[in-house]
Amino acid sequence: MDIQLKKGILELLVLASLKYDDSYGYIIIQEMKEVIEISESTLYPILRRLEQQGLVKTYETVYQSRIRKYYSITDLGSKRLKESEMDFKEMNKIYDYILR
Amino acid sequence: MKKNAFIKSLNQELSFLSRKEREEIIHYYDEMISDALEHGESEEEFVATLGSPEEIRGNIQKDGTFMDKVKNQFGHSFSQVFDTTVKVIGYFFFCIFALVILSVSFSFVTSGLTMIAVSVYQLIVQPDAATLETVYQFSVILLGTGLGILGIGLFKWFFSTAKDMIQKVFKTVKSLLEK
Repeated sequence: MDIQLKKGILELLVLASLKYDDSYGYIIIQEMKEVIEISESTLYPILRRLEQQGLVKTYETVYQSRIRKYYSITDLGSKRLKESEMDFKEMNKIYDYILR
Repeated sequence: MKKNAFIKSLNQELSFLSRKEREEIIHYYDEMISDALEHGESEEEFVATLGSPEEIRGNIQKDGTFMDKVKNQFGHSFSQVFDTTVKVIGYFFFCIFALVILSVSFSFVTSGLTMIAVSVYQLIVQPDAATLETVYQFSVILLGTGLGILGIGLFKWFFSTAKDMIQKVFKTVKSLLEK
C-alpha cells in the first residue's frame, strides 16, 4: 500500500480502536493486525504522533506490579474520526469508480 | 534474543535521544513484550518480530517527528556528538603521540648506552681496528634489533588497537553525517 495513504489509515485505525474503550499497546496492535499489516515498531511513532496532536491522551495504571500505559481518545480525536467517516464515504465512491 | 538483552541493546542504540524520550520508548517495548508473554507468545519469536534494535534506531532517525525534537535541542545534542568525536580523535592522536615519544626515548636510550659501551671499551682495552669493527657491528646489530622489535610492536598496535579506533572514528563520523 502507498506509504502516505497507509500512514493516514493507520492513525485512523488507532483512533477507531479507541472509539468505545481505552486500551493499551498490545491490545491495540492485536486489533489492528486483524485488518492491516503492521508491526509493533510501526505503531509506536503513530501513537506518539496522535498524542502530540492531542487526538489521544495517555494515563498510567499499575498492573501486576508493572506500569501499563493506557490510551484514550480525546474530543478532538473523536471529531477527527467522525470527519474521516465522511472521507471514507467519499473514498468509497472514488474506489468504486477506479475499480469499475 | 531475550527480552532483557533486547531492552539493553535498544537502550544503547537510543542513547542519542533525550532521556525522557528514550525511557518512553523503552517502556513501550518493555510493556509490549511483557503483555505478549502473558498472552502465551514465545519470547524469542516475539522479540524477533519487533525488528533489531539497530533497525528501530534507524526508523526513529528517519522519522521526522523525532528529529524535530533533536533539532529543537540542536545545540545540546550537537555538542554531545561533537564532544564524543573530539574525544575519540583526541584519544587517537594522543596514542600516536605517546608511541612516538616512546620510540624516540627508546632510541635515545639504546644509542646512548651503545655509545658509552663502545667508548668505555675503547678506553680500557684499546683494541686494534679489526676488534673495534666487530664491536661496532655488534652494537649496530643490537640497535637494529631494538628498532626492529619496536617496528613490529608498532605494527601490532596498529592492526589491533588503531584499527578498532579508526573504525570507531568512522562510525562516529557516519552517525554524525546521518544526522
